[in-house]
Amino acid sequence: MISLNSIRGKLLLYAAVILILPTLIYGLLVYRSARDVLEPTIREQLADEALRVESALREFLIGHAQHVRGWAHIDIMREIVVHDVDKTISQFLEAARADYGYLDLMVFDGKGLCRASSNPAQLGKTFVEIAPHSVSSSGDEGRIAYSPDHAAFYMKFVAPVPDPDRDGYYLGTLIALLDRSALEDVVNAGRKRGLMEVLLLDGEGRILAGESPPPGSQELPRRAGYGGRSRHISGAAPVVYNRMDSDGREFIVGEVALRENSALPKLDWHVLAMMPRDTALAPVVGVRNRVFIFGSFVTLIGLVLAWIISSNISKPIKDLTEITTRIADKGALETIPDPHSADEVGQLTLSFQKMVDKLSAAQEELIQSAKLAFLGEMAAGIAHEIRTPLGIIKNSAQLIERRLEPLDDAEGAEFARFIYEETDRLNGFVTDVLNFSRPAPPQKSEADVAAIATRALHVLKAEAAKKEVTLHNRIEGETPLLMCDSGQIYQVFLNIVMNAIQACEPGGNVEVSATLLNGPGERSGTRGSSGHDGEGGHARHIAGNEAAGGSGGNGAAGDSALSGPVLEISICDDGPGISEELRDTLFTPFSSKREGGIGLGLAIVQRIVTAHGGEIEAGNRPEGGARFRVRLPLSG
Amino acid sequence: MLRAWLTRGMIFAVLVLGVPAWAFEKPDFVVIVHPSNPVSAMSRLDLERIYRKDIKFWPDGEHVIPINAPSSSKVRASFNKTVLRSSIDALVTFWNRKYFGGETPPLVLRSSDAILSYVAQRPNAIGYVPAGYSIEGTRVVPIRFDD
Repeated sequence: MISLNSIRGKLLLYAAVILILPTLIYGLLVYRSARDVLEPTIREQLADEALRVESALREFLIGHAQHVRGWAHIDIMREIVVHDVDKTISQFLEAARADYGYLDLMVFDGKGLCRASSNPAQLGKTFVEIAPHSVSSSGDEGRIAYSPDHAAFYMKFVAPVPDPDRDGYYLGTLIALLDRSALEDVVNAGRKRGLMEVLLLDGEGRILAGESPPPGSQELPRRAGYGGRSRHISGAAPVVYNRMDSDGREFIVGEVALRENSALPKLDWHVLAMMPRDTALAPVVGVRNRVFIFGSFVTLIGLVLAWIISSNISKPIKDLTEITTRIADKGALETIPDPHSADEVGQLTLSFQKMVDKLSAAQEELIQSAKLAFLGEMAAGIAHEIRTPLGIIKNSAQLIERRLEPLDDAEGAEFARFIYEETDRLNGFVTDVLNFSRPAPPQKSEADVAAIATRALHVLKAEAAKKEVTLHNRIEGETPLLMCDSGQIYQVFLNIVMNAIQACEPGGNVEVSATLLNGPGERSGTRGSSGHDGEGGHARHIAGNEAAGGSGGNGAAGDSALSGPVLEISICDDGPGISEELRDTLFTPFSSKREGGIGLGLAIVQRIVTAHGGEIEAGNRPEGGARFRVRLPLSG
Repeated sequence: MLRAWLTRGMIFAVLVLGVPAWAFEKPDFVVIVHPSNPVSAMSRLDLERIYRKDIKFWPDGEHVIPINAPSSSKVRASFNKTVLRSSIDALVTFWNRKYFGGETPPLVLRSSDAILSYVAQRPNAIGYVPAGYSIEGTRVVPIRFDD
């Protein structure tokens, strides 16, 4: 279950919203736009089709009405008088029937008896639907009726047969019965309508054409719901409207009334071109559905991508969270692995790394401070208690030596000298401890570093000579004046050089040099600490192996944070170098492994350098031996 | 004298016995055929049967094409009376029945000239024109009214 409070949940939610919402909106817009374009076009097509069929139908009906009227006027109709004894009319009617597709053509005399017909069976009979002496269009002309004789539906055309010899008199009536299927042919002619349905309805809603009556039926089918509507349509202009069918299906209907014409009786007929609305809009719905399907597909792909991306983003954050939680819970500052990318999360990881490093350093310093505080307190107490007896012991030893001198007891005098010399050493130790635990703030003044170095080397010359070590002072020419406590800096030289002498084998060399650097960028191959913020902060000691070009260091290396002109003092020896195990505790108090050393020399050096806002770095030279670098800002 | 008596006797007989009028009426039309037609004479009954389409072939096997004058003409009325011996109504009834059976009445041509011209061109045609009409290009067939 993905929580919406997680990055993954949010990303997935955003991706879903960003993908689904436009798809939905786009699909609906496409649907609405296409529908708005298509529906009027379909309505127009329906109206056009209704009008076209109406025109064709009208021409067809007028054509037939004119035929029948024309035939009623031809000369042979005179034969009605002699009851078509020679069958001249009948033969003509038969030919006309065959040519024009009538069901039957008949001529009735004034008594309503059939005197000529294309169908001999009709001769001599009456036609019940024709009133005697009916000579003009009768009311039933616009009706499609069923003929049991023909077993078919027909439409009737009636024309009076005038008497050519007597104006205003009529010989009879010509009746033409047209099969309803002829109407069907007209309505269906030129049909390229696809799903469009065209119906011809009469005023009572009966379907005259467009849908055939079931076989054997003597009733025309009706289209429920359309007859009544037809009554409201008049005039030549087509009307388009939507109508619910009886089964609840919505149709778009183009309807036009059959226009009146003098050749035709008044017919309340209507042509309807109709199409189910859902069918008409099916292409649009299809497009909409395709958009939705495509959108769903894109959404799915988007969600999968969002899932993958969110995993990539959230996993390192989760890992980091786990580590920080562990650190918070257990208090152990464990190492944070390097980030896999340089993006914001990578930056965050790096920041965490730095933070943990700093915390580690701060923790170390805290421990050291605690040690020192304890040491300080202890030292202050011990110093007072030890110095007084030491003074008495030293004085007593000197008195003993003086008393032994006249006795020429050389051996006794030597023992006495041992006592007070060792007492001096103990006194020095007590002073060291006191100095370390209660460091005096540097009293800065401009000082010449070359002079300080020379003085220190001079003092150590005897010690060096004893160990057969040669001291080389490479600080030549003028060095710039340094704002410092010259006594403390002298102490720095003393302690480091003394350390170097101690480390060297007989015949070894110790070299002191200084370089002026105008900025941190000038140093190449140096390894400095970061995070130093000048006076009041702490100088970071760095112990690394320069032979490895910096890459083999202890991993906490970085560029120096010092800014402005810096004096770099370098003290090198050709001894065995700094061993791996010593490297980490080099500047830790009381950590000396050297015989006779108490492990405060380098700790004091570091403290002094720090108090001057500088840094100290210890490492091994590529050519062998150790190298200490002390960097001090010129401005102090 | 005897002849005079005979005539008087016949008139008397007609008046008294009611002899049909057509028995004494001289036809005022002549029946014509193509000059090549081998028939030299025919009985009234044969002629009637031709015009009622009961006889359809000449003795040589050719189709007979009877031609009628228009139904409203005098010569047609005379022909109906003397040859077919039927009223119009009877003929209508007859031909309605025949027409129902698929038989159509003889061809009608609108004028005697048309009838003459048609018969002159068709060896198997037969028609009639008013007596005294020029029958150029055709031949008169005498009709025996002996029944």
